Amino acid sequence: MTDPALLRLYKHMAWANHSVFTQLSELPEEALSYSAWNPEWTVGAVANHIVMSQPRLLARMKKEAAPYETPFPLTSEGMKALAAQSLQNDEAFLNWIDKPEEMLTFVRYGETVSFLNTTIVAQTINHGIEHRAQIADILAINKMDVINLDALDPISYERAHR
Amino acid sequence: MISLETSLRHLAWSNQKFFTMFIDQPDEIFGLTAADGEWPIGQLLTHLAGSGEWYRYCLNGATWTDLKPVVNGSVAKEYLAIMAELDAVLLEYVTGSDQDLEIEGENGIIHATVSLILSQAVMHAAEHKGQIAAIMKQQGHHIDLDALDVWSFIHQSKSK
Repeated sequence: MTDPALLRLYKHMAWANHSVFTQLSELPEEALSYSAWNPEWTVGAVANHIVMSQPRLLARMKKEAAPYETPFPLTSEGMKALAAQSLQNDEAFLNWIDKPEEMLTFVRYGETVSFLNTTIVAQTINHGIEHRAQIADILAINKMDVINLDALDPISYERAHR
Repeated sequence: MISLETSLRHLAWSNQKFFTMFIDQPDEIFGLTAADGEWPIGQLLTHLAGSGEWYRYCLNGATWTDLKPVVNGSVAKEYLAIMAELDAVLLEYVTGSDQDLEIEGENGIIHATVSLILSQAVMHAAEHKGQIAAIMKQQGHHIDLDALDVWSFIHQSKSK
C-alpha cells in the first residue's frame, strides 16, 4: 500500500509542475528568457531543467540508462509541450512509488553511487519544489510577479480536487 | 516501503543547515527582498517556524508561541532549537495512520488529514528555502542549495 502522505505529495507535485508550466506558456515569450543572478539560468532553462530531470530520475528507479535529454524551445508552444511532458513523466513516476525500499546503483556525475529508491523519490519532490520557487522569484525580480505559490500548495491542491 | 519519512528527515536536517547559514550573516541580509512589497528574508525565516507551529497545532493541538522575528544572526541561532523541536513533531506522525483531523481555525472547523499536514510541511519549507536562496543570489550572496539536497543529506548521514 502506498504511503498516503507520499502519494498526496506526489500527486500535488505533478499538478503544481503542470500548473506552473501552463502559466509559463501563457506569458509573453520574452518572460521565458528572464534571468536574475545568472544570465544562462533563465525561466525557460529552469523549467527545462525540472522536466529533463524527471526521466533521468525515473530511469534510476527502473534500473535503466538515462534517456537523451532534449530541451523544449523557449516559446509558448514549447512550454505547452513541456507542461504536457511533465504531466506524462510524473504520471509514469507515480507507478514507481508503491515499492518496497530497495538499494539502487547508478551513475551520478560520472561516479557510480548507491542510494535507496526512497531517496530518489524524496529528491525528485524536493528538486521540483525548489526550482518552481526559483521560477516564481526570477519572474518577480523582473517585475512579473504572476506565479502565486500559495495557490499551488498541497492545501490548494486538496481544495481543487475535492 | 517507500514513504515520506526520508523527505521529513531531510526537511529537519536541511532546516538546521539552512538556519546555521544565517548565524554569521550581517543584519542587512535579513531585510533583503526579491522585489518591492515581497517578504524580506528575515520574515520568511520567521514564517518557516510559524508554519511549523501551525502544523504542530493541527497535529496535536499545542498552541503556538510568540516567536521573536528573525532580524539578525543571533536570533537565527535561537531558531535552531525551535526548528528541531517542531520538525521532531512531524516525524512523530510519519509512521502512524492517516487520521482525519478537525482543526479549530479562525473561521471555523478545518477538515484535514495527517497526510495533508505532513505533505504541506515538506513542500512549504522547501519552497521558501528556494525563495530565500534566490533572493540571496539576486543580491550577490551565495547559498548553495545543492549542498542541502536529499543526496547530500543521505551522503552526510551515511545511511545510504
